[in-house]
Amino acid sequence: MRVLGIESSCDETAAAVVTERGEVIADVVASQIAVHAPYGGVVPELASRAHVQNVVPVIEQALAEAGGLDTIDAVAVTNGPGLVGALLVGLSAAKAIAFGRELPLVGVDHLVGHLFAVYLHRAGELASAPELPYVALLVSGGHTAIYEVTAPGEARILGQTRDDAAGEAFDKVAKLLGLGYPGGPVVDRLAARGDANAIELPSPMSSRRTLDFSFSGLKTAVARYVKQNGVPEDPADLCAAFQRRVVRVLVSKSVHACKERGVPRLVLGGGVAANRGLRARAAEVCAEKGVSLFVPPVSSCTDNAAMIAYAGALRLAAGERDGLDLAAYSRSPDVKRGKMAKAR
Amino acid sequence: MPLPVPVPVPQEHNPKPEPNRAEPLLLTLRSRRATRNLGKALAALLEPGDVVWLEGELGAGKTFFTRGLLRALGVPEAIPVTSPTFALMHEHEGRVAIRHLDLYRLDDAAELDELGIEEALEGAVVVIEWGARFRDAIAARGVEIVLSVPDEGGGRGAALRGVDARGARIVAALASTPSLR
Repeated sequence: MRVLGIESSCDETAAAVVTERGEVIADVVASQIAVHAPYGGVVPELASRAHVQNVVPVIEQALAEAGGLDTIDAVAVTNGPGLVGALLVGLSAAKAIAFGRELPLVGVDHLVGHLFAVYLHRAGELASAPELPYVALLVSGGHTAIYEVTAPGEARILGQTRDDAAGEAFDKVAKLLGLGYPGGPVVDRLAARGDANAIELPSPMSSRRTLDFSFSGLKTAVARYVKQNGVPEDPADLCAAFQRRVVRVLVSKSVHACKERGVPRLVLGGGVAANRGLRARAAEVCAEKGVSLFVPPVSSCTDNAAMIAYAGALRLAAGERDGLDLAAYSRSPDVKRGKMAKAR
Repeated sequence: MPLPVPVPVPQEHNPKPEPNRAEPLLLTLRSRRATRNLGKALAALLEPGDVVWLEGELGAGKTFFTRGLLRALGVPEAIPVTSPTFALMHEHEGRVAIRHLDLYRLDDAAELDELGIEEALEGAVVVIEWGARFRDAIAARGVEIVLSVPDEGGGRGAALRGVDARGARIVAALASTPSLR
């Protein structure tokens, strides 16, 4: 079975074709095909969110790579959480295709998509994927949370940020230091040659009594440091100090969640999973504690439609279908402690 | 500090909408609790259609203030009130509908359409962080709160100002709220 997946929940418009086993046939993200777009070359931030302009070219390219619409058996689409206006663009396109071709349609929760992205793999490759259940650390510009993934399409949230997402903290610290946007990669690069002990910063909510995170105080501490001392000529030490605090608390709580749940498997996901400091620290602590670590390639971690297609395939395999009245939602239902919606 | 004279009842018939030229209401928020108290006092005065503009440097406490305000508006503790920087807008349900926007990542007023700003302003209390530079394109109404971090010591400063006549009345009512003195 081949599923066409469509994603338009935030900045990226994306389409992909994936089999029920997670084999990626096509995987197209609008910001990567910018050269074909009318604005030519560089995509300004505005254009990257112009889902209406992007959605048809992106779907067309994914279908062209996959061998056409005739090869598609079902359509999966992100219907939340996100900006309803943005979601409706992908949702309308998905409904039109499903209706026109009489294909089954399923809605997918964007976060559930991320949690199962670890199973995605290219044709001929094997996914280095965990058996269920596993613990997943999802960390990006918009989300920072730890989940226990219990069954295909099902997960429960164990802890989450109470204020800023970790990726957002990276971006804002980069801005304070005049390093540009997005901030994650630059801070990561500078941190690699900085001395994390040179500058004292608070550890953000490092108590193991809760699996929740808080990064707002750390951001404020960096702001205060810059206010008092000015922007350092070489910000490497400050980047290293900041990144170490973030990475340590992310890894420590994730590994603690593995222990608490008796599940010795940890999956990283979300754009911040590309951070080298995070990967290195996770590898080190997991090895020490006997936890198997799974880190998908960066293209699977950042926002994409392949993960939506695959999570949709899981719903379809469970016999689930949505009608053409499928609605968009801005907030995942029951994203409270210990509960999360099924894959929809 | 002399406090502005409170205006008790919203006036039904303003001869003309008066631009607010009054001095801002300046408060020193010595603790997180004081910040929450300000949110509580403001929440009691807000109705759907009101806009709260939150300004202040990174780390000034805009999202923290919003959390206190939203709790006082009836958003349950179990619902996280987090920074909407990435998502641009979070929607909440309390005693009224609430939309929490963050325009930090926007560069251009044209992007507001993409966000659905007009619909967002309807039928809800709207909190907008980093929105002042787009105020003319959004809606010149409500209350502006500028949060600041003092150079010395802890706590936060808050400067409140009405953007329009209704906003000015809300600020005046806050000025006469005993718990904020």
